[in-house]
Amino acid sequence: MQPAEVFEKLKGAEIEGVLEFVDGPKDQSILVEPQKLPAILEFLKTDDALQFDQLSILSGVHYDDRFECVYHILSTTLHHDVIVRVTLDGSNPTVPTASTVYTTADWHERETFDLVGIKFEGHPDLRRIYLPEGWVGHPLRRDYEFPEEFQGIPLTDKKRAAWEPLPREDKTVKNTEKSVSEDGEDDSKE
Amino acid sequence: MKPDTEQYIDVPTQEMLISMGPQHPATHGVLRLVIKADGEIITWADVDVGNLHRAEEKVGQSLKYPQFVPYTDRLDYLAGMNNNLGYCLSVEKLLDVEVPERATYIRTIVCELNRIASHLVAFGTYSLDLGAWTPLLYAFREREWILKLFEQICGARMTFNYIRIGGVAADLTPEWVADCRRFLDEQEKRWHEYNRILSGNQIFIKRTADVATVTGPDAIDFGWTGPCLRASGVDFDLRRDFPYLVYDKVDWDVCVGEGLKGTVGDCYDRYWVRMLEIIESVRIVRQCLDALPEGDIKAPKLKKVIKPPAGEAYVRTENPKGEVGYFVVSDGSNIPYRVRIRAPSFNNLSIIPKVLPGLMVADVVAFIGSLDIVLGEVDR
Repeated sequence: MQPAEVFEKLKGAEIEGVLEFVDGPKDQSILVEPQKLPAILEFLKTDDALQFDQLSILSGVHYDDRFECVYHILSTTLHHDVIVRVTLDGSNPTVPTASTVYTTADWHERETFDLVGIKFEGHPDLRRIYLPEGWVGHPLRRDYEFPEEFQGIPLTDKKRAAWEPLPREDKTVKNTEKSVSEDGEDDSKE
Repeated sequence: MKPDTEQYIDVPTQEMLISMGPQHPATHGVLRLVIKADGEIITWADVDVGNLHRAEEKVGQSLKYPQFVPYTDRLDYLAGMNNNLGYCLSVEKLLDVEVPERATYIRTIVCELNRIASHLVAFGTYSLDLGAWTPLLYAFREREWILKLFEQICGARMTFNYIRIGGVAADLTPEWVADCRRFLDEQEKRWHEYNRILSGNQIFIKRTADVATVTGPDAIDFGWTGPCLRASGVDFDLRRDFPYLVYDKVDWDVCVGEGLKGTVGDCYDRYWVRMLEIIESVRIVRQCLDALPEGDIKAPKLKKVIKPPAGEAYVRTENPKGEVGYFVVSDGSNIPYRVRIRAPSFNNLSIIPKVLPGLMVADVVAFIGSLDIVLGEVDR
């Protein structure tokens, strides 16, 4: 079943909270209301014609003004998949947990909380999974600044220049095109 | 005179908290388990991951698109080719680039060879976990041949960076193809050696059959994919059900656990499904070598600087351990806006708090070994 058909089915069944069909250039997805998310996932999982029984991946994305949570779910019996997404407030992103529907979401939500800082209401054990307890901030946020020390342990070497990500705006395209190597890889140094 | 034995009967006992790992030889890396044991029986278990966290997703959104390909090798370092492939397919989907047919065939060949290598390590280390030393040497003998084949085409033995965006890095020579065919013939013969030495071994069967059985619904619910899911009796393989590369053009079978020595979904089934998949991979590679077309190995119209249009893409691929997917978000610049990685071992591991209670302490190693986890992709 194609994503558009799944959307029509959700609309036809009069499920609350289904907002719109996002027709992206590559992946199509269904935008839903955060508070209604568990009920919608439950419907997608239990409906006989849909049977989306597995959550593949839960991703949190931080945009400048908002957060997005993207749920890729698939059916191991009917062999089709769909993407459900929610848009969250930029200052205090909170969404009800999906771990009541898919147990996979338990660890994925802990990871998303750890790295992106989205809070999942009703999660049984929401604590950091990778970073140590007491770590400040969420590294995959756009405004994250790498701490200089962690509980008294220096994290940056003052003799060496601090690591900085490459600038997002690509102002050096002309230079790089001159210096690409033959095998087509962009080997230029910035 | 009768000795006084009464004093030994009411020895006070208490639950013991055991920290297994992160420096434990049977945890396949730096996995730490916290186990509460009442005598030999486990009553509670928790997993502590993150000791190998290298911020792969942060690196992904800090480097240019082609620069991140070598980092994907370090995720599941036993199957670098398959990880290269997952990332490249996602970026190619964003770019809308068509990969030449020869490159697609080469990708299938190297991915399946890498699957054999990964399953051989799983077979060898699993026997090692359970106390048998010899099968490891058998497995590494064949794996060495595969690594030498890889070394010839890309110069590296484990961190390949061979599959690139738009194609592959180098072409296959006729000598390489001939050597690969010799390997496949030899692998098929030696597969029977493995079974003679381990698969029918009574001690091995006693340690694995009926141990840590996971049912199909549980496996799906906890996000299991790959051989572990199929061992639980779920007939699902991304190569067949969400086809990519040339898997829909070759003839092969999906291996599903049938409870050969015990119940469906026990440790022996997980082991046995991997053994069967080695043979299926040999079949796939042989057909791909037969059908290998001539032509380019790189998309000819691909621009030098890779700047996909804004959008997002997720492609599912079947890694030796399960589903690997890269969720790549582009904002139109030459650096990904977000790279989110789905790692199969991470999901396969999450079932531990549910399965371990009730098992013997010695079965912990049997269970973790049968999952075939790689901590490089659990911790990312």
